[in-house]
Amino acid sequence: MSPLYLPWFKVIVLPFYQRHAGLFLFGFVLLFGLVESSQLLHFHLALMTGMLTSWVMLSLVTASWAVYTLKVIHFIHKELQLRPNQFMLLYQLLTQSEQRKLLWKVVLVLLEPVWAYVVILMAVGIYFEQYLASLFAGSAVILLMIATVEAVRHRINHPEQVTFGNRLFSLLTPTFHRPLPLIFWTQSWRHQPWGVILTKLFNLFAIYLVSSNMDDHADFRVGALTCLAVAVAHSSWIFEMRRFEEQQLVFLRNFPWSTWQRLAPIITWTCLMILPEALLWLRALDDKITLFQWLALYGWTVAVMLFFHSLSFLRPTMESYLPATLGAFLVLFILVLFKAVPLLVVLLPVWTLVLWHRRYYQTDPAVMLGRSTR
Amino acid sequence: MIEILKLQKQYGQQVILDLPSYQFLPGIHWLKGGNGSGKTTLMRVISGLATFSGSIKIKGIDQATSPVAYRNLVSYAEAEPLFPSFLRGTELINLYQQARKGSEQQSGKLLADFGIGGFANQPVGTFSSGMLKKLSLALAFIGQQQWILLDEPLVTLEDHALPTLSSVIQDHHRNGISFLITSHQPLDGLGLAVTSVHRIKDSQLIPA
Repeated sequence: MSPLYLPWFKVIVLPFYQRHAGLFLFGFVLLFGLVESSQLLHFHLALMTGMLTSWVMLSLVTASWAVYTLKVIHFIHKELQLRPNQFMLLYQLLTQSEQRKLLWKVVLVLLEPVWAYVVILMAVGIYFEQYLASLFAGSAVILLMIATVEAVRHRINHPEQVTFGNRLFSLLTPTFHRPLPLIFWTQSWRHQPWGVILTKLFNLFAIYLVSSNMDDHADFRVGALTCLAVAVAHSSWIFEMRRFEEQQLVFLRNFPWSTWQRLAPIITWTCLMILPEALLWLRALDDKITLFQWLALYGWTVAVMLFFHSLSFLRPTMESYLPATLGAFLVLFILVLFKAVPLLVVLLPVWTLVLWHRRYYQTDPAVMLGRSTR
Repeated sequence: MIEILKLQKQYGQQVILDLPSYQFLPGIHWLKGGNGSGKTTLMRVISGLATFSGSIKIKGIDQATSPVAYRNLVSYAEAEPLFPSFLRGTELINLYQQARKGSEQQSGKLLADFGIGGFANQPVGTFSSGMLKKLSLALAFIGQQQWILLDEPLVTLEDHALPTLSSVIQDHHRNGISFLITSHQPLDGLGLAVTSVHRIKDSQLIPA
């Protein structure tokens, strides 16, 4: 990798794919996960010939490529605006042709999902003698790439200028005010996107496996133990959120909020965070678990995660927190075997509330950041 | 009035603050001290951001026993504000407005006064340090608090923003709000009628 390309790779390319991993995963599942594997090739051939023979469909698909390109440009502009990335403006010093050569490399990697698909589409078009449609698709992608390169070049050379693009992008930015649970969610997603995806994949796979192999009206403890594993898989993530709260949201401590007002966004965030897992459990509804049991499993996972959250008051460093969650996992595992879930679903949230009430103001934010204080 | 009693704050073995008894009467107070003397720690402790042993009361309300009522009475602008970079200025303003029961009219006036309306809709990660400072100062004024603590409010602020800050402080002071301000720069240049000057030295707080 050339020294000129390396900063672009680290500041733009890698973060772009990391932060949009969910989108790509969704697209992948949509394109390859919904059709029987034996029908996959036939499905995609039919889809492509449909695009090549219908101008309406081809226009719609081209529009979706344009939206993706806009997203790429928006992302680059946003990242270039950030203070730590201001050094990227040094690329102003390159000549126009050097800038173009470099940015073509960057854009080729960022728009790879689009042009790779278009190359296959064009090959199919040529095979089926749909030359005009193939030419249109190819030209559209090349134009989008040129537009991207020029938009980024313009941004580098005129960083202070408020462009039409800037105004357009500010319109695309959500205007609603994110409530606290969504602020936590955004942070999780931005801070450790791969962690989010891998945790979710692991959990969904575990639930899929268990729910597929459960007998009809199986023992509730099987589901409860799976949910316990799901909660444990989130533990380091929970700790990172606590650290985020004490570092970047420390001003919240000055707000005149009751314990309940402080805890409610955490509960909402937890409920939201394990919603995909809860939804996957729905597939086992009726024949394997009842609606009440589904609700109990959801409540149980939330209760354990809140318990793990509150543990950070007692074990405020990652080194002491993770062994504590592991120990808690073992104790809870045994208690589940003794059918204590209904009791724990009540007790753990009560414990959490009490601990929050007693320890929140007694825990110095500096401790979470590794500083000894009293 | 802020009443401090038997306040102690340590980082590890190092005693940062050791205040047997101290009072800040209503007014505008200038808190001085060298680097690392504990000014910011005192501000964080009074605003409820950091833990301590002892007691702090505002208008007789104890921080430890009535944390919600106490926090209604005090707000704080940090010397080096840090907010999640993806949050827009307007999102923070809205959050403060809801939490501190401020009105849209009040926030709108502060935005105009500090001249941050033009960029408030951008993510704070794109702000310069001066823009961030202005936002942080404006946020501290949102609400119905009795005391506003400003930690190094003049740092990174452009020259022509200083009279604005001065007039906002004076307007609020006329409405009965008191201020505790730390600053390495003289506050006289702001044209503020400072009630008293205090200094932190050797973990102690003394009238200067």
